[in-house]
Amino acid sequence: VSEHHDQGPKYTPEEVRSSRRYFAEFGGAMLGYVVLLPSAILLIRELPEWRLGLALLPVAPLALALMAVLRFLRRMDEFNRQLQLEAIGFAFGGGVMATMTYGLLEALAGLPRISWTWVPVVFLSLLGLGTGVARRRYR
Amino acid sequence: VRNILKVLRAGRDWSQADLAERLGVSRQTINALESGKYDPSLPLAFKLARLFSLPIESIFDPDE
Repeated sequence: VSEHHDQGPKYTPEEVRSSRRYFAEFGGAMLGYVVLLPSAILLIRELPEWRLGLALLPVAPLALALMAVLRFLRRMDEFNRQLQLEAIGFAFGGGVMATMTYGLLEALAGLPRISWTWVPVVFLSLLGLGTGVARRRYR
Repeated sequence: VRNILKVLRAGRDWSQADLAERLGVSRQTINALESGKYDPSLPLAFKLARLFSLPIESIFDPDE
């Protein structure tokens, strides 16, 4: 019996269904974001007095993305949920460290101020890295 | 906790994916169980026991 046969297909049909549903829900939310962000920018130009509300327009699809992530986590089996917990723990702790470190460098060492929108980029990159680390640990 | 899942699975001539599907878990979960890197929850251990018609303690053995 070859190693390949011993393992069988990489994903069970249930996992494939779950992933497809996640990508549909998350992708739909992201599509909403890329449509609403330029719309908000254009609308603010026309209606600057409404800019506070209009700037929050792209947040709605982000909330949908959050729901998609939480639903995906709840569909996972116990082992994958543990794996994700380790990855999210790594990303959260690492993200706090990274943003605090830069905050100190900004405040005390005079490094340039950067936009808050970099914060999710930091956390999401660390989540990707953390997932890789956790997967490797259990291989 | 040690287990004999790999032996039991080979006895049925199932792939990891076959066993995963029967238990409603992922193939990586079976892999982690077999390598002893992950211990199952009580419900999953009972599911395994029922599937192989064995008591839990003849599948799992706490490390001495």
